[in-house]
Amino acid sequence: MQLPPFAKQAMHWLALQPLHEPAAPADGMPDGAQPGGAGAAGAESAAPDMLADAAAALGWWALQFTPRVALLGQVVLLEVSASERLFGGRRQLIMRVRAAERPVARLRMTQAASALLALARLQVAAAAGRDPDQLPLYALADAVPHLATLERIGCQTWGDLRALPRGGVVRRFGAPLLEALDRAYGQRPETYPWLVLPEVFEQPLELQAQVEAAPALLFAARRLLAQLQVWLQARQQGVLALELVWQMDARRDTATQASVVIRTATPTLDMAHLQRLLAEKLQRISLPAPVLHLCLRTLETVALSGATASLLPDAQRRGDDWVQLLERLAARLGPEQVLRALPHADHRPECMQDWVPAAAALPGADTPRAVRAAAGGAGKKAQRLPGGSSGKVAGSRYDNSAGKRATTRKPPMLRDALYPTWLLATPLRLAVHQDRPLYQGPLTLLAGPQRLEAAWWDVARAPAVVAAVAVMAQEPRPSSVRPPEVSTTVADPPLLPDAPQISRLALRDYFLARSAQAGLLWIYRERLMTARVDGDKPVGQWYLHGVFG
Amino acid sequence: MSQPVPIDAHAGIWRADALAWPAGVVLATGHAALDAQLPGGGWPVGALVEILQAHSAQNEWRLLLPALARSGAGPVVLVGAPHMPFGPGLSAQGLAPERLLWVRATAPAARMWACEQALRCAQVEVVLAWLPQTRADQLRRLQMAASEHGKLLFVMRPARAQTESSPAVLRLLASLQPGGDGVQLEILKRKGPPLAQPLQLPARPARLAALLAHDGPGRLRLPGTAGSGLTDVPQGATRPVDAAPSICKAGDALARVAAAA
Repeated sequence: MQLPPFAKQAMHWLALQPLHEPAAPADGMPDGAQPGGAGAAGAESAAPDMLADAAAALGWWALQFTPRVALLGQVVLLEVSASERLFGGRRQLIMRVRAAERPVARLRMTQAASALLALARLQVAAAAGRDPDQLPLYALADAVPHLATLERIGCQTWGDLRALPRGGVVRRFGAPLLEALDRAYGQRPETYPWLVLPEVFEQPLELQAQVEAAPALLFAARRLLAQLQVWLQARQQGVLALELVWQMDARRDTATQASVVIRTATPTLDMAHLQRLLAEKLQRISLPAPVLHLCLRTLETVALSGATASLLPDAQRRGDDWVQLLERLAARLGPEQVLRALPHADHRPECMQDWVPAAAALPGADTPRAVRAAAGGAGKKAQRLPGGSSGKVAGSRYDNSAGKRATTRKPPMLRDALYPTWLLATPLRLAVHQDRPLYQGPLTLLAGPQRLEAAWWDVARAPAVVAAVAVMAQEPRPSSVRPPEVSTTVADPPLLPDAPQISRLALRDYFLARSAQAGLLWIYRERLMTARVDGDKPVGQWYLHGVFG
Repeated sequence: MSQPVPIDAHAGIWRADALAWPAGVVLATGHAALDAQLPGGGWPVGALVEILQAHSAQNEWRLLLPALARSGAGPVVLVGAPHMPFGPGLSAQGLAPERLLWVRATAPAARMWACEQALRCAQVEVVLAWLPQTRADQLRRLQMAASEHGKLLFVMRPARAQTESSPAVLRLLASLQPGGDGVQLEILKRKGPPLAQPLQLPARPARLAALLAHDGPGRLRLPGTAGSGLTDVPQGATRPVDAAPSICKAGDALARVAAAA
């Protein structure tokens, strides 16, 4: 027995279709009139060509209205009966879908009591309000294989087909056609594989043409990023790390796959920023073979908390974000070129600060992040001075870095006044003329000496040196005496190239010196065992270490 | 009803014998003699300031540090600094080293790019750029970015650039005082009459100046006579040290410092 059509008005379906060209209607539409169900197309809405997979993106976006979203080819089906009440009625819900602030793409929308009917109305543009019986048969997907036969027996519309005896139709055309017709009239339940938002974004993209140069990949990657943005918005997450993988022509005798990873310090939804970072990375890559496929996947995402809007109009400052600036600078110039200072408690001037990559040690970062940055700096990428300390010392500095940071907050005042504003990364050895150091002319010593003796722990591996230091510590006038065995261990020319071994034992006398050309300078003279032997008496080398700029 | 604010059509015009006024937002330089000669009485915010100096002399910190110390808490971006900035020395003069961002770009194009990016950042307070090779049109770009985003921008250039034209609002030629330790400052360009006499800035930090004045060459102590070695470290480190202006025996102070070190 047959149920009357739409006996239960339980279900209500929306069919959404991304519009590829706003002017030209999609294929399969006999007449080009825009249907009444055409959705709103805001100014910000991207063309679906800008998305890697417009239908999937539209589906993800539509998941905010109902959990029952199905993808049928390029059409997105929404079953909204369950969420009508939440949105304040069917009319309100549809208004909302149409007038969404940022639709993923320009879209056309139709609605009907069954999915197949909505689909048919989407296909037949002028059928928005038409009775289902009047719909042409080509709008029913299951009838399309039999269209020629049906036409010859005089069946043009759904109504014509329904009027035929059911048994004959089943015998002639098979059961699926009749079942589809029943579903379209709401006499059979419709189920579809519901769209599920994937846990991890991974979107492949086949390139329309082979790409030879890496920067040109950006154009295709832009579509993937647009897709990623839809996914992130649907999941309300921000991306921390993502990977762009490309597959290259296997006929070349090279690697067939390569990738680039982008990391951001703060979770971001800003695709323009990611695109700039990606562009900087791709600028440096040369492709050994043409690229055919791209794939973008997220490596790390975190939930994004909403931003607090300001009540005051002037509270927002114009310009880019600081974190984004750091990342952009690091992406183009290299992370080791964009540096921030981390203070350290040390008596050696070259160890008082660590210049670490700024993207790792962000301003306003709380202690764990700062400590992590310090660990990273000490462990792998530390921008230490040339001839930086051994790993052992770096490790020990990290272990009690918290305490030392606390002590460096309030440095002693007097010593600071004597510090220069510029420090030479490598102390410059000065020539000496008549016991006076020269730097662009003779230097006049103004003040000093300021004695520095530090880093004896740095030479703990050389027992002879430690012993020598111990001896000298007891000497009343150590500068005049130098144990002879020390010169063989430390002042060995192969061990000591022109640049002094900075984070070794530091025995120095610092002086303020004035140069006629260069102004006030900070120079030091090495003492004792680190000095060279000149004839029979040790002569301390003079080095330029800082400039009072 | 509020009256519409009349737009002063003559704001960009000033009498040839007077400094431009009003001059927009300025930040006091910290040097009274210099403030008196600058339109508005300070560094112009949102404009390009050029500091020309000889290659060997570095006077930029002396000129800028007093102002930078009071320029808020935003980052100070150094693009292409000639040496490594020494945080303890800068913090002694009021500039927190946490504010510094040191961008080590060598190529002129990379420096320009980094400058422009930094100027466009909302949080950045000051940009200091060392641009030995640059053209006027590139500087104009920076000037536009600085004025659009309201940043302090100082560009350090070699002294030979004084003959080139520049879009800078303020151009200074800094050189060392012959025979002395101060900075001799010529104002090459400003919104006002040309400056006849170069300015003399005794621009050492007060404590360092006091130390230098006291501990002159006659008082120079020979190396090897100060400090006593490793055993004195804890004692010297905990000894209270007087504030700077009251340094009366700088030599002893230095000795204590050496012992602490």
